[in-house]
Amino acid sequence: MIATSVCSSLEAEKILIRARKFQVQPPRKDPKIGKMVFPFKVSIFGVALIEEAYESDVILYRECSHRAIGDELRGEALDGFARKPFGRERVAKGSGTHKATFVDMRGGVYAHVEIAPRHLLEANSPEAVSV
Amino acid sequence: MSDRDYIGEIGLLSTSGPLVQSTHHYDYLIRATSTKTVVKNTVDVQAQIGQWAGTMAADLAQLKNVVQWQHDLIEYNSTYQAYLLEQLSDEEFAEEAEKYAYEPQEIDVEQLAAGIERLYGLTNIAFTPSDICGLFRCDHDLAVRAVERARETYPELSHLVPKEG
Repeated sequence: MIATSVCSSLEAEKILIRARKFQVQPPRKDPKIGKMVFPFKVSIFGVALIEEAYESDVILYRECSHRAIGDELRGEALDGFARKPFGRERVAKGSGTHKATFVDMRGGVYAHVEIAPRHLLEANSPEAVSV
Repeated sequence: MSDRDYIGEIGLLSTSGPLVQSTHHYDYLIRATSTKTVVKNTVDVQAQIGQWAGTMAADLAQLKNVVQWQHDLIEYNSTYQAYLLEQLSDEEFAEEAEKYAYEPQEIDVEQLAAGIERLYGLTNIAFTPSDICGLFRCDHDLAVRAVERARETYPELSHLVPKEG
């Protein structure tokens, strides 16, 4: 399942992030989770892919989040948070023409589409602004 | 004869308003040009200047907030880099990160939308909801709702929020 609409989200135990720009954001104490989380933001062809799903009894941060292995978010910008500090970024081939930054996030991760993929925005597709 | 009557009689009065309500009956600012003369009660002028100064002070506070947020972001990024380069242990990083952690505040959505609009008006930067969270230290869902309101004034922000309905 690939989701591209603004505000679609996914949650899992382990997620792989791929984008050309990766930015860490200062942590926040999330009242829903009751502890400090480590937010991030990615842009330029951002992808978040579930590599390890949550156990079925884990309560999601947002009920409508995708949660199955292989579920994927794509967007011009994604944001989210991990419950643990992220590991080191690595740069590898990301497409036929560009390299990209890859980051593995573990320990409970939430990702969310902030801006729809560029091709949808350019085409003025309703998908770019609908859930 | 009142001060208003006097000024009116000599042909200087070109403003209407609460001239006679002034506590300083003879306190006026008069601007004379070759074609026009304007008389304005000093109290009214003070009120207008005060209003302008208030707007400027609010804008300045808004921009100071942006600078503070960016400063914290840069500082935190340096700490994170040090952690990745193994110059900080897990415990040291957690301790440092705690200093930057904020607790989302309850902010009225209308007030937040007004802040977003003013900020966009001042900077012309379309801050995303996650930026708004860090900048105003608020919850993400609240930021999305506030951007939804702000797009009524600035349709340029429409791509940041789900379609209405």
